[in-house]
Parts: sequence; C-alpha cells; structure tokens
Amino acid sequence: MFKIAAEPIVEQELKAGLLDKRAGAIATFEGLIRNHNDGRSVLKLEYEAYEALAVKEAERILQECRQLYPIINVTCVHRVGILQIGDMAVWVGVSAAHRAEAFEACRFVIDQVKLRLPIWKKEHYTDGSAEWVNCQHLDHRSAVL
Amino acid sequence: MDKSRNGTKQIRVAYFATLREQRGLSCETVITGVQTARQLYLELADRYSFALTCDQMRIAIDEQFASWDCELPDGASVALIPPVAGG
Repeated sequence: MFKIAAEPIVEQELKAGLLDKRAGAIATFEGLIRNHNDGRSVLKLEYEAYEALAVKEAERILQECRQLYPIINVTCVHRVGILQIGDMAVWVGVSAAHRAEAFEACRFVIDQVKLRLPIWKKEHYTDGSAEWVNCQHLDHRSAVL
Repeated sequence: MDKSRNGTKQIRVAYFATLREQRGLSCETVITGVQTARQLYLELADRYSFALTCDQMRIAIDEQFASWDCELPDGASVALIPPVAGG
C-alpha cells in the first residue's frame, strides 16, 4: 500500500497493517525533517507531488519489492504540504519472516522512492531564502552559461 | 475536426515545483503545432525562459512516464517533471 498524505503520518496505524502471524520481523524507516542541509540552516520544508503518477510509480516500486524479496507486507506513506523540523516526511514499513529481507526490502523501497517518485521539496532557510532541492543549482548553472 | 485541419493541437500542460513557480500557474491548455514532447518543452522553455533542459527532466503523457521524442496526440495531457527530491 502506498499513499500520499496531506496530514501527519500516524506510525502506529501503519505498523498495525503490517502485522501477520508469519512475520518474525518488521523493519521501518522514518524520513525526518532536519534543521540543516548543504551547510545551510533550514527552517521548514514544503513538499509537492504529482499524485496520480506518484501513486502509480510507487505501486510499481512495491510490486518490484515483492518480486525481489520474500516479504509479507510492505507499506509506504509520503507527506505533502508544509513540514516543520522533526516532522516525518516519509515512512516505510516491511514485515517478513526474517530480519534480513525486512531490512533489505525497506532499504530498497526508500531508495527507489527518492529516486523515482515525482515529488519535490522546497527548503525554506532561516535567512528567509528558499530553494527547490535538486533544481536550483541546475537553473543557476544554466543561467550563468 | 478544425484542429487537425490546420495542423495544430490542444495540449494540457501541468507544471510542478520550480516550473510551476516560474510559469506562475499549475496547468494550462496550449495550442501548438509541435510534433513531439521535446519540441513542446523547447517551445515553452523559450516562451517562459525555463532554464532546465530535457536531459535534467522527465515527462509524463496521460499519467505515464514517456520519452521526450514521443509524438503528442491532440488532446494529450502532459506533465513536465523537474528533478525530483522526495524522501
């Protein structure tokens, strides 16, 4: 299951959905908003998604995960909207019979989510400026040329 | 149809993140004579001074990732996807 959420992520509910009598392990990953990036002091983050495509691509990632690893359940939720320092931006949970595949599958999902989903974040800095992550330096470089 | 007779098509374009801010809106309908997704982006980049190149971005047509050299059908819904930064 994958979901784009406009409201805070409630981990307990998501984890309950992973439980299964066959599961000997649950591995979870929480992506949090930190107060710095690239040497700059961050005030808050703004996430935006192309939801229709993000959901389709995420379902493909979860499908690939199930094909690659012998897991029982996998769930991922990604936030959109304004997030403050310490807020959870993304949550991944995997249940499996054993810990190795739970860890590996969880890592696979978060890595692919970061790489493939049409989701963007704008960092707002404490000095009042703001930048779209991964976009600004490209814009800047092109503008200079 | 009148649209096909004069060689133009109507394309729905969605902008996200930095492109949405540069364009000043989330989506619009564009009347254009271009054939491919790449030609459409180059036309829009020229019109609105977008600095990102096709190589730095991806494109989706009708909610599916597509190739920049894909031919755009009349009535297509196109999403321009700047470098992503989820997680």
